[in-house]
Amino acid sequence: MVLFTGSLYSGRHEAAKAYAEAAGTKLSDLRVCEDAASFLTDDSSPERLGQIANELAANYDIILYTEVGSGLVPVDEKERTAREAAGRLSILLADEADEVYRVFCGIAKKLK
Amino acid sequence: MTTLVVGGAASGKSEYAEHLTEAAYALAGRETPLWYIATMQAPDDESRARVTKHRDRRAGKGYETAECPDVAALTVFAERLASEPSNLTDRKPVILLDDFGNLVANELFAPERVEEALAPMTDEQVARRIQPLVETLKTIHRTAGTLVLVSNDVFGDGASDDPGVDNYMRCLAQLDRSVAAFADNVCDVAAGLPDYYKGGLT
Repeated sequence: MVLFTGSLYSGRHEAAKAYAEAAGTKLSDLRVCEDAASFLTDDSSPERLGQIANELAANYDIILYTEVGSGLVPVDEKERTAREAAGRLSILLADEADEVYRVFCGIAKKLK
Repeated sequence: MTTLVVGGAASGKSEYAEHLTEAAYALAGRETPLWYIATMQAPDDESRARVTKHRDRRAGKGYETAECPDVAALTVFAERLASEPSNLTDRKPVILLDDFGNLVANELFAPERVEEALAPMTDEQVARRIQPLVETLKTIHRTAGTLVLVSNDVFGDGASDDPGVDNYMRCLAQLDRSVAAFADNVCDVAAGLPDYYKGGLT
């Protein structure tokens, strides 16, 4: 599995498309998860996050993750927990990934 | 040579961009035109104080300032620059533009077109709003000897429910990505230090 992380609107989808084409395939022929955080539930225990990461890694070739941790700490507790869970999930996904790219202004840089 | 310098608030992106600009100017023996393209409209005390801070830092360094808060003014500047005789020689101008955040805000929320900017925009609307800016910046990119462009990383919070804010983020991101595609160098600045995603300068 290959993970593409980056801020909102940083161009991760386009970068994944270019990655697939460079690998001689098409993004539409791969199993793509457009938003890893959409699989989070109210249960953000480490066990549950580990389980989600395992399932995503097993079911997808390409996973896109939207970085959300660089703003102010949200006042709303639910948002705070969700942001924390998203960041933790990205770490677990990166751990499972064969390659990790960070996308910035449409440019992908290999982190792993 | 065009460099896109991106960073968060108070990351030191302007200082780093000024450093690149002034190094290129020094390398050219200070014999080229040196332009600072200012983008901020300053209707209140806080923005006037920011303008003064940036102006003081540039004082005595040889910059000529062009006030271009929107694409119309920027296009006039680009055309004037392209028609100047310095382009025919090797004394191509050194130009610093600071920053995209202001340009996009002034473009998107211009009073005569603000209505479109406050409701959710389609990808086509975003592209249409930003395309004239991209074209003008490409013209300047072709004319300049050295062009340094500063943009603002405002994406760290993730999505916004406010359509105006979301439109702004999408337009700014679209401009960043479009310019990054033709720029020679692209870097992310943190703590005053650049992290290059494309090319590389010191």
